[in-house]
Amino acid sequence: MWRDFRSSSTAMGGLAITLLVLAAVTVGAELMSYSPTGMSFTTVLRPPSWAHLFGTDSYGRDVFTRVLYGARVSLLISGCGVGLALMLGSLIGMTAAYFGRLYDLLVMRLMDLLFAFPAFVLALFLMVIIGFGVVNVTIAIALVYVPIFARLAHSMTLAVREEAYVQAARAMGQPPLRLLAREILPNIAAPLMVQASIGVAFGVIIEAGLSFLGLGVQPPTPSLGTIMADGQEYFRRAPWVLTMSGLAVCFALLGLNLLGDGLRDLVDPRLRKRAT
Amino acid sequence: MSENLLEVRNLRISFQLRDASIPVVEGVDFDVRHGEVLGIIGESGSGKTVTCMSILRLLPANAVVRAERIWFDGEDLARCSDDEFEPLRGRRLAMIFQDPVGSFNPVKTIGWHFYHVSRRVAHERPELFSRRDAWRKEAVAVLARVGIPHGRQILRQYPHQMSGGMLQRALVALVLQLRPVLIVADEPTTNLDNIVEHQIIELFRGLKNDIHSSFLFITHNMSVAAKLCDRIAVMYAGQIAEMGTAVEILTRPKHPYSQGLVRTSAEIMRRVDRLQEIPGELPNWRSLPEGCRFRPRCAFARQGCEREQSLRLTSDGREVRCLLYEDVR
Amino acid sequence: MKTIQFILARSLGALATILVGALAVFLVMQAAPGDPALAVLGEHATPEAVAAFRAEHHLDAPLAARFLVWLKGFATGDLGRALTIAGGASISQLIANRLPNTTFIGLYAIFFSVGLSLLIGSLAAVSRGKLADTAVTSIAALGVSMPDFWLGYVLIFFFALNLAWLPSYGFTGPFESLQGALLTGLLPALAISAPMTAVFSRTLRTTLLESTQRDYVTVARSFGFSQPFVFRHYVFRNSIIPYIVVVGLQIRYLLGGVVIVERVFGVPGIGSLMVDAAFARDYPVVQACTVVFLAIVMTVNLTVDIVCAVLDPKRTR
Repeated sequence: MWRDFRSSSTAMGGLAITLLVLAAVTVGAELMSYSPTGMSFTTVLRPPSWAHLFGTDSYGRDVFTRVLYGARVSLLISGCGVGLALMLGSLIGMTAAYFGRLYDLLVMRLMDLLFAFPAFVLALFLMVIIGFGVVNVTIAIALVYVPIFARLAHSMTLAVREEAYVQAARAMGQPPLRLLAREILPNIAAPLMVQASIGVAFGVIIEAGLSFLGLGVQPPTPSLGTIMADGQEYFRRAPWVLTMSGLAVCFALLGLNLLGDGLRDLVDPRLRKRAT
Repeated sequence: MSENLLEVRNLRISFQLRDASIPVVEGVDFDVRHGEVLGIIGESGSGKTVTCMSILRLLPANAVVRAERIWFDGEDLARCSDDEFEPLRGRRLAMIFQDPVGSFNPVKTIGWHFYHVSRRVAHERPELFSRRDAWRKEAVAVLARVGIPHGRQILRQYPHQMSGGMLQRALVALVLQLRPVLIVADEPTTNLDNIVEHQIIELFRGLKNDIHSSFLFITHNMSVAAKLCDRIAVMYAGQIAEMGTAVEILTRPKHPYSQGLVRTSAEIMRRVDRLQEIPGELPNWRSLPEGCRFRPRCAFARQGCEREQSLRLTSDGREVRCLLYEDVR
Repeated sequence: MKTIQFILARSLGALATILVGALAVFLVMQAAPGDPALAVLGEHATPEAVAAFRAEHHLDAPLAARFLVWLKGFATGDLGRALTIAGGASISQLIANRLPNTTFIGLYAIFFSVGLSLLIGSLAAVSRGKLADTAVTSIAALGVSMPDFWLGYVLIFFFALNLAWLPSYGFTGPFESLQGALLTGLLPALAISAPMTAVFSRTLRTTLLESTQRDYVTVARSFGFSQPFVFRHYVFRNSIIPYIVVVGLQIRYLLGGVVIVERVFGVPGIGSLMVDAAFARDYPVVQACTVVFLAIVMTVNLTVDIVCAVLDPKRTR
């Protein structure tokens, strides 16, 4: 399987970019000579140069360093949110499909209802209810993604439920939860991971959007959204802050999306072959 | 020459893949006479479908087709460009495909198919559009001929509303509407259950006698071939192994491969306890055996078989690609 | 006719979902921490002021009654007044004023997404091979990697600030001046539609290529049907259905983009209303906006369902 992965240029490209980004935000950030919060009124609003790759903002802070730290926060938020949604959603979807009947009906209807709201609107609504901040944004992203994972896990579990090895395990008396974990989960994991990869990317966009509006991560914590919000204030005078930080977001998310696409190409034909 | 509707000489087909060129059909010669049914028999992968599709130029873009001559009703198709060939397809040559369910446009009615097929031959059959509903009446008549009585309702239906057997008959009806001179039928009964298969065979038998088209009938089923074909060509690994009249080949097969085929199907008919199968498998295209391609599986293989074998004409008019037989040419 | 039955059934389903959604929104809103009276009047408001406020806004009535009153408000057009923003204007008035703008921008964006992707997807389907595949996949991936508000700013930078072809802020409503709306709405619509255009193009290309591999294409060619005929009636016609299904699924992401883009471009729509209300903790307005957005999504989904049903006989017969 690794060989298939290697031959897919999208997957490899995506992986390369993602790893690069991860390295940059973890190790690279620490290596930067600037501090993300260190203000300096002598270097306010400088355009990009070799000293400041992305220029400086209105407080004289190096934008590139801030972007690295901000990306760390954004990726953490999105990663945790999607991870939470993955666990919860898969559990909901799998159990609903396996146990069926009223539980299935009610739960999946609830998921459908959640899914009916536009993603960003749902997140925004939640922020109004529970307030702003890093943790709450994570919860909002999780809420947006739970129905997606639930529906995916549900439909796949339905397909797999009738397979021979599942019937055999059931006949042997394996308790349901263990059956779900041991037999079903490994076989539906792949598309879930694909969705997760793409989900983290979109989660960053949601976080960026919320923070950009001022309804997400609150300053002084840097996040990709708050940096772009800063950049928006003086966009006409110094467009580079917003532009460059946005480009950084594009680059990071491109890696994640390419990785997800590459994985999906790997997983899909397999699924089709399995179905026949 | 005038007795033959189709003459194929030295047909060679290969597929261009990323890293190699795979030869699929090599040096195939055969004739189809006016008003006869030529059966092409062979296992899956023997090249029979590819051979027939190449005549209609329906192979994918990476297929390389070469032939010395493909003489059809007065024209050499091998010398025709694609543009010159376009008008012939459907009008003079047509094909009935194996899987009826996937052959129809799922978002259009059966009537839509009939309408456009009729328009295709509007020039040759102007009576179809002489009055407003003429083509529809004709379609109903043709459907009745293939065993579908309620033609008017069927024309309004969509493919997913019909069974496989009915779709196969409807497909035959569509081809009949074209009134082609040569009909290529690619295993038209393989996907159908026994009762329907029997009905379709009876239909073809009736048609063979009524209309004046010739058939190129592909099958791997000996009993079907026995009921329908006048002459038979047995294909193996991209070459013709044996050719002769149907009766002769089925009762006195000469090539060891044909013997194996006839024997196994006879055994199935007799329900013996143990089927004596032909040992081995079709050779892989990338590693064909030297000389006679059947050699690894042949019980009669001997000295000389490792050299290229050509088709030999025997004294009783049979063509066999095997050195066991004397060539009288 | 079965099609009409289908449309009715689906419409009822959509309506039911909106109702249940409204209930859910209402209940969740009630569970929000904090007393709206205190939020509006401030922490140090006197108990009398708080009581008066609560009485004025019927905050002490039983839950079911409040919900039904609110629900009725959608039908009669009286949703109460905003708590804090817009000087306490009538909510239904606010929504009525702004809904055409949001709808216009949304439709404009869908028009771009679908129109451009039909073109690009068809053209891209012509070229096969690994290079084309990688290129199309990369462009699609790039599309969804872009935050749409960021793209909005980039567009403003080039087309409004540098080239001054289009205004960078403000929006003329479609009822005021259609031409003005088309002009001022162009950049916002482009910003929203860009990510989806990339995805839709790739989807169309994929479905087109899949359709060309199908048996019915070979059979159609064997009848002697010409290439253009086969493309139009077999390949394209069959590809359009899965394409529309994907469009329907992605719409909710597209509509989400409306919220921020309205803010960026200063479009007075439901999205910017919701954002303003969110800042001001104006719960009734947020509530109403959420339900309106739900209704918009359900309407779009219903339309997609109906279009699919009309185009695909398997769904209705």
